[in-house]
Amino acid sequence: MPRVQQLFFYIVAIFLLVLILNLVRKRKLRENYSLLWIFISFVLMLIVLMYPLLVKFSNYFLANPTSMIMFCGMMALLLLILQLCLMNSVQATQIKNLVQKITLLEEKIVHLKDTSSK
Amino acid sequence: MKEKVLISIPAYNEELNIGSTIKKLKSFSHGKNWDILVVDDGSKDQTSIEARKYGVIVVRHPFNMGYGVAIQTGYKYALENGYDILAQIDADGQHDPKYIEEMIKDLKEKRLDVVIGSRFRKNTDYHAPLARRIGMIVFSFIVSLVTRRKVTDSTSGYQVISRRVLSFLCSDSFPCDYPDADLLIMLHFAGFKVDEIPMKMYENKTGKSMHGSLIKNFYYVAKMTLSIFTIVLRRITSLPSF
Repeated sequence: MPRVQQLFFYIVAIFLLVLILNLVRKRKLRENYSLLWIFISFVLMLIVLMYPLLVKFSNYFLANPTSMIMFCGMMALLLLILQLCLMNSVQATQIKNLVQKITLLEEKIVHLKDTSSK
Repeated sequence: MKEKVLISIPAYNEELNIGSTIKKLKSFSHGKNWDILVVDDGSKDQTSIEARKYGVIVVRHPFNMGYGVAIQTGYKYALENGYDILAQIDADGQHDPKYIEEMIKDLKEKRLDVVIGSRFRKNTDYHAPLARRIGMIVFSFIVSLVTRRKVTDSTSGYQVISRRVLSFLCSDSFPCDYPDADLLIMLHFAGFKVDEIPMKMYENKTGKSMHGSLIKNFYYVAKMTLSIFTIVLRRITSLPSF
């Protein structure tokens, strides 16, 4: 891998890592969401560090290293989307239960107000 | 002792129909231990204001959550307030309240858990669009096959439910997205007894339907198929289906 490309990948990986850590520090991103992103930035750094290994790995699948990186990137994104969908499903149920609780509590308040005014 | 009955009416943007539906219901509930609850699913119109004019209990979601969530709110209200039986009818005036008494009688005499008002048990003049009718037939066939009991109208929202089932229906496993054919299979696997009685259903004057657009129809078929498949799969792999 040419030096320029190596440097570019390092910068991207470090930028990603710093960005994620900073978002967690500012409490804009929760730790559980950040773990997969941190893992991805480390993998990116490892790819650059162990480039010959990546070439060997790609040859094993009869693919070139660039395609392999693209494939791994896509898989990582799919994993991230799946993680978000899982969390979204849990939250949808929680929101539904909250809405129902608020709705029923509101009715109780109206009922209590009515009975106390009589 | 007379059992406490709650008539739950899930409603969304039904300001034009809700009044006449409540009036009709009141004419049948007169002198009985029946309460009427309107669950306004975050309507953009005056549905809850209209309903309150008739002195019924009205609860309102802060925003639109969908039909399934609205009916579950009704179940939760009934469970929390100690009702013995819950009857559920649509707000658009398609369901005739005269069947409620017969359904309650059926529920008690046959010791059933759920009684469904079926549009297709007897020959009726109810006409659904062809695509929807095919969907209804297919899913009713699947439910009949799985439950080994003839089900003719798996999508009917006209139901009478005993208290025994309410806590089951209030759990998070309740399929809030179009609860019909998949729910009947869940109830069967959970050991609840479900039966139908024939009823006449009026055409929807507004032409509104929760399965409105082509995309919604497609989504409904795909979702229902997946839901039934996973319920059966859980059963086969001995995981609780609820």
